[in-house]
Amino acid sequence: LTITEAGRALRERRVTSAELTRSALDRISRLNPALNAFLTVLHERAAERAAQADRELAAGVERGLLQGITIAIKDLFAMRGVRCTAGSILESEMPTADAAVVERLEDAGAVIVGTLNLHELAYGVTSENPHFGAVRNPWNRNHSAGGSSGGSGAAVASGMVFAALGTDTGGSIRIPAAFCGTVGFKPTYGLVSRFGTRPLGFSLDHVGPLARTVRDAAALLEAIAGYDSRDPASVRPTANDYVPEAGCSIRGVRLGVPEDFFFDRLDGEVERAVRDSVARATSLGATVVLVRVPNMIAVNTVGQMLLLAEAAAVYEERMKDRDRFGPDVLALLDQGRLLPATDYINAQRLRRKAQIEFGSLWSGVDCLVTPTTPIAAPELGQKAVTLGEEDQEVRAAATRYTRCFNVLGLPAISIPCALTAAGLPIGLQIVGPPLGDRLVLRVAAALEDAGVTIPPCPA
Amino acid sequence: MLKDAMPAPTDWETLARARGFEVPPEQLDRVLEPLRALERRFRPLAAGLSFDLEPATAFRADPEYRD
Repeated sequence: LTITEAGRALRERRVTSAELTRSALDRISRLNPALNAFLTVLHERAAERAAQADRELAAGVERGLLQGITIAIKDLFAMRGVRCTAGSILESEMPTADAAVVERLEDAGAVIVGTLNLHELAYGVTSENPHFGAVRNPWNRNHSAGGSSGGSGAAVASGMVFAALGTDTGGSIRIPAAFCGTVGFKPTYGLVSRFGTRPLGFSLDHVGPLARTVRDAAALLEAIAGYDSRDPASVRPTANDYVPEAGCSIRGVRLGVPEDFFFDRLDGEVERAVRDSVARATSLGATVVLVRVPNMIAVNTVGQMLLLAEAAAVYEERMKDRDRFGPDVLALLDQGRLLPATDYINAQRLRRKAQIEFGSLWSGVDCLVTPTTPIAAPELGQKAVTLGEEDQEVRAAATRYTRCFNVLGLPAISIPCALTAAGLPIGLQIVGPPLGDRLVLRVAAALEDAGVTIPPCPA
Repeated sequence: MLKDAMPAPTDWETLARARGFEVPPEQLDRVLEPLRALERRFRPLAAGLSFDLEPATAFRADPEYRD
């Protein structure tokens, strides 16, 4: 069922939110011991919220597409009275207020059934959490679910919930979406409030949805997007309706396909799948424009510098508790503490330069289409992959095509476009100009309607 | 030419010691090697910045900007 289908069933009294919630909780009980996607399951709270949704639906109170729908959130968002770990044992925070996105989801009538496992402090791409265990990929449990929102990807792909919230600082929504075969959307920087969300890199953090379809992801975005004075980066959106209409067209849309960087060094199956999807877009009337992108290696380097410094600033005071960090996160935080302030400032200056250079691209194209990751999900514990003739760390490989769009703050979606011969999902990334979120969703929905998708996960 | 203008590579190990890092010597490379690689990529980029290019972080004093 999609969110739209479930919403229709709720309104036609063919199902109740209480039933949907019981079904979700049963599925979590059955699958979570193997997948390790959830850290906290909110049995009572979810049952109460579902009962409220049923009462309101019966009384004709209309809250929109998410009313009575089961959702889960990455364990990084404050929810009053619910332990928030951020995937860490540094502290067990018991929030006294809700994050902005939790407020908005609950105002929209969503039923939050639990919080989801992640890479420690959201600082990594594998979700092999040293404190709470690794999230496993529902398509093959020996493979990574990606990260840092790995629990979100696994929970959605395995059908435990309709959709989930994640955060994305260098690809942390889009990478698990690609590896788990879900849709994952990173909106324009500032479109969704980060208030009450544990920061990692202040100038790079984005909040967004993972879902099984583009329109389901858009339904979540519609509920959570909007100006919030409590977030210093919050922007005033230019739209408030994000769900693409049925049968939406991309005729005449100019899709930029990079000639360089994004197709330089990637797995052959991934490249074929992405190029096939581009051909599908052409058959729908989109125009393909071959483009040369600015120096994306430089943009990624800037992103690394920014994140190292910003994350180290967030956790500087906690570094005396060294034995409470996993080794990979500890090493990154140590690196950030050593960087001179001048490097951070110069990285922000280079970011401005990249923004100007990249901005000129939008006069010739409406969207960019790229692979989300150069590889499908690696095995759990795998440290390196071979791309071309070069070995690369999994972390660098996984973020190669995603991190740059955090630096630029651009809206970017990953949609599943094929399975590898080994049965692992492949992600296609569509990127738009600043505040071009609606267009990105429309292009993604049109491709999905045209069959650019994968079968449901057999988990 | 550009190479001449580039500052000498940072002695990260001395810097780490000066900062009082309690990193066991056998783990130090895990911290420092990625920094050396990052510096090699970053320095040539930063060397080409014009004086008037402002950072992409902005503080706005005017409260009107927010509301």
